Amino acid sequence: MNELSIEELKAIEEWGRRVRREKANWEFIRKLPSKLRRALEYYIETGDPYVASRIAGLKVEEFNELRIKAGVPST
Amino acid sequence: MRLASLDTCFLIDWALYRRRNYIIKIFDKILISEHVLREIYSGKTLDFVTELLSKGFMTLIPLTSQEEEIARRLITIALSDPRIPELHETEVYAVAIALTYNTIIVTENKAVLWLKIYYPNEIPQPVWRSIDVLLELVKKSVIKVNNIEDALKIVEEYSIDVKHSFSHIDIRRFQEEVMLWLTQQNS
Repeated sequence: MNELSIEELKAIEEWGRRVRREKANWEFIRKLPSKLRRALEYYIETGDPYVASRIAGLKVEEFNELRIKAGVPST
Repeated sequence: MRLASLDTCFLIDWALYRRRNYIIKIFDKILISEHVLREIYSGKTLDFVTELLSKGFMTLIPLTSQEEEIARRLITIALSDPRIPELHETEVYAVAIALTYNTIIVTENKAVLWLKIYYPNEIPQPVWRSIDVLLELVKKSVIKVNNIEDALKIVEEYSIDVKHSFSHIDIRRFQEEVMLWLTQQNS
């Protein structure tokens, strides 16, 4: 596809943050140990799985499984 | 020969997709760095990666001082420009490999997308996301579609398998591209 414009990428980032917040299973997330909860909260705000996995002390793939369990979509 | 350099996050997501093996029908060879392997642990993704490596569809690229230098340069740009999000080893080495071996970059990483927009001379290679790979599966007739509904079903399948949400912007752009392709096929 043609490359994204600045406006499109900004809109996609804003939409991504909103959809991650809306779809997250917050009840599940609140019950998690602090490190995992904070990692998911970071991911929901930034969409950055690498730093989130480091906060959680997990490999990126392990964090991805946690993301899915928490109902947070990748965007 | 069409080569692709994949970053960790794309690969981990793609490995969950029911049609994951179709990726070898649109790329002749997939290149990864050892950083990608470090982030993988499960049977499913390991099976996928091991199969591609053993069949020669995937190659583990040793990093040299050239890729290290490219990576440092890109990280420095990202650090000095507040418009660019943080850039990590998982994606920066995928970009460095792409620059060295002249491949398509496949990533969902927003820092790479912003770098491509603001510093096009630093990343002249095409940057594809999963939606672009799905579109290519359609355009190369790897997955046969007769109409736009068939094509959208492919996007829906991927979203379900990977738990990935596509924005309305991406869906619209995908639809437009598929419609154009269908028109060309039928003319």
